[in-house]
Amino acid sequence: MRIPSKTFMSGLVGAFLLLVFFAASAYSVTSEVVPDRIEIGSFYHGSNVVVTGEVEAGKDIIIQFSSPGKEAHFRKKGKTGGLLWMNVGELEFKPVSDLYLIYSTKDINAILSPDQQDKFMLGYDAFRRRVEVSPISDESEKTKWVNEFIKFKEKNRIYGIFTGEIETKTDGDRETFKLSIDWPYQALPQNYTVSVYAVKNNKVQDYTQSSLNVEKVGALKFLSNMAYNKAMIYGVVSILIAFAAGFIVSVMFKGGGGSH
Amino acid sequence: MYFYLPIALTSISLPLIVGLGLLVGLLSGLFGVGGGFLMTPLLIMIGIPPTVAAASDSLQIVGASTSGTFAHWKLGNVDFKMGICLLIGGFTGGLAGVQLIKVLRMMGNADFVIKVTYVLMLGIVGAYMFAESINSLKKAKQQKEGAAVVEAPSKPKKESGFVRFLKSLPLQTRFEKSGVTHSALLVITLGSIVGVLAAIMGVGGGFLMVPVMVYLLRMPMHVVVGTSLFQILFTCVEVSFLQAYVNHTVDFVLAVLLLAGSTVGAQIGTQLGKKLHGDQLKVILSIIVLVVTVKILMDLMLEPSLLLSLKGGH
Repeated sequence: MRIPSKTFMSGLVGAFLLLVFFAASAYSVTSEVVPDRIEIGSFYHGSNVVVTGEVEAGKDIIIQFSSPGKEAHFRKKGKTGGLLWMNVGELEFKPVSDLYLIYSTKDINAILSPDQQDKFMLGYDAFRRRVEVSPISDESEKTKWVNEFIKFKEKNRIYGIFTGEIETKTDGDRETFKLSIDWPYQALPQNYTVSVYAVKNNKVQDYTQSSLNVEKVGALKFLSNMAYNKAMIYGVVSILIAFAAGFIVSVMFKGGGGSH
Repeated sequence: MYFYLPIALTSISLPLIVGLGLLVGLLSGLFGVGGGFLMTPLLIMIGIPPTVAAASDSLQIVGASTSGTFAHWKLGNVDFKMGICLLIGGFTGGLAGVQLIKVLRMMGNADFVIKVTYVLMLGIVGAYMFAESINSLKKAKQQKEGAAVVEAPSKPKKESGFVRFLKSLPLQTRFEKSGVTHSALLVITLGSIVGVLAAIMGVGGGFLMVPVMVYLLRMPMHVVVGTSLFQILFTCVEVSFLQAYVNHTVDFVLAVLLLAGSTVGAQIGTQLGKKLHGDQLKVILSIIVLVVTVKILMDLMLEPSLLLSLKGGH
């Protein structure tokens, strides 16, 4: 069977264009996260994470650290009887990431359109639009509690949007970048995604993703597993050790003892 | 130096946490209070999740009160008979209190009742103890100064109807160590009232039990401290086990670090307590209770910086 020459030629051109596109996009943004695994041991107090890579010169860069979205439950405080502040109910936020840190070369609103922010969930405005809060009565109440949610997370250093912390260096048509951050110890052990976006003309031109695995190790992991999987033994052993500690200290201080 | 906590999932400074333990242990040894009403809010303040703070604190109280009880037992300050009667009442009252909380939660006003009960109880207990112990100190001073002045012999006091009623209750028991005679029913009932209040407020109840023993059961202050610690020890064993087994909220590392400070603090407190007069102890305790009351009241009346908190805790 003969392939019509016109069809063959257009197929060839299409394949070539596709190849050029993939080659260009593969080369458009590259990144590396060091380390890609953080071990939480007994003396862990956070870590240092460095993200490096390359983009085409003239593009802005956004680096996002996040974890999978899920439900989060909180107690909300309000005034009771017009006088006392106390818990007045519960709120559910979904889908929300445990950690949401964004670093960009320029203010996100100046380099990315709202549509693109929503598409890639970049920035607090996109976050506010996507998150659902319940139970609430109207939109203004939602805004209030989403802002409180962000405030709570920012205080724990696991939410934040920062501009100007990415170092860049242009070399011909390429631009190398480097971001060094203090990884917060408040970030829970789990898998995180590090996304690097190359941005131009208010659009994400290309992006790449890497993973960052934070996990418990050693004695800490052993104790944690025991508390959840062998809770009865954990409870009894904990109480016995508390008894022993109290008793040993008493004996050590026996100089002051002596019954009357 | 920092330690990462396996259940609280946060990192804490070693000197800070041991220092906190030392301070609360000192109060425990001095006054016979478990320190839960001080320690749990302090732990929450430094970033420990509320449920883990309350549960781990109860485990550290087990250690601190073992140390304190042992020290007081050697000094002959533990009235075991009284302690067991109060424990029976405390357990029963605790169970009733938990059910009461369930009903209040269904009615939707549990938090209001809990907070108001907490502030009222702390305020009343603190103010009463403060006034009473200042009066005692004044009287002691006057007696010293006026030792030479011959006073007219006072008429023997007539027993009130209430005292006669208490004496008519069955199961009158002599509590040798405390030097008092009460109906065991009265002691168990008082223990259960404290148990109900402690369950409502989510605390061990030491700061309530101490005034009950001093003012209602008329026990000498030094026996009160030892006996209170004995009772708190067993209450907290039960709570710690249930929290570890049912809720998985006991952070062993946090409790051990607190214990490193509190067991030593309890011993120092016991030694210090021997040097202080009973009324002086009561004045200091009442001032601490009043300061905590004012702090809680301020927290309730001023708008908090964060309007959201993690679910859990009391």
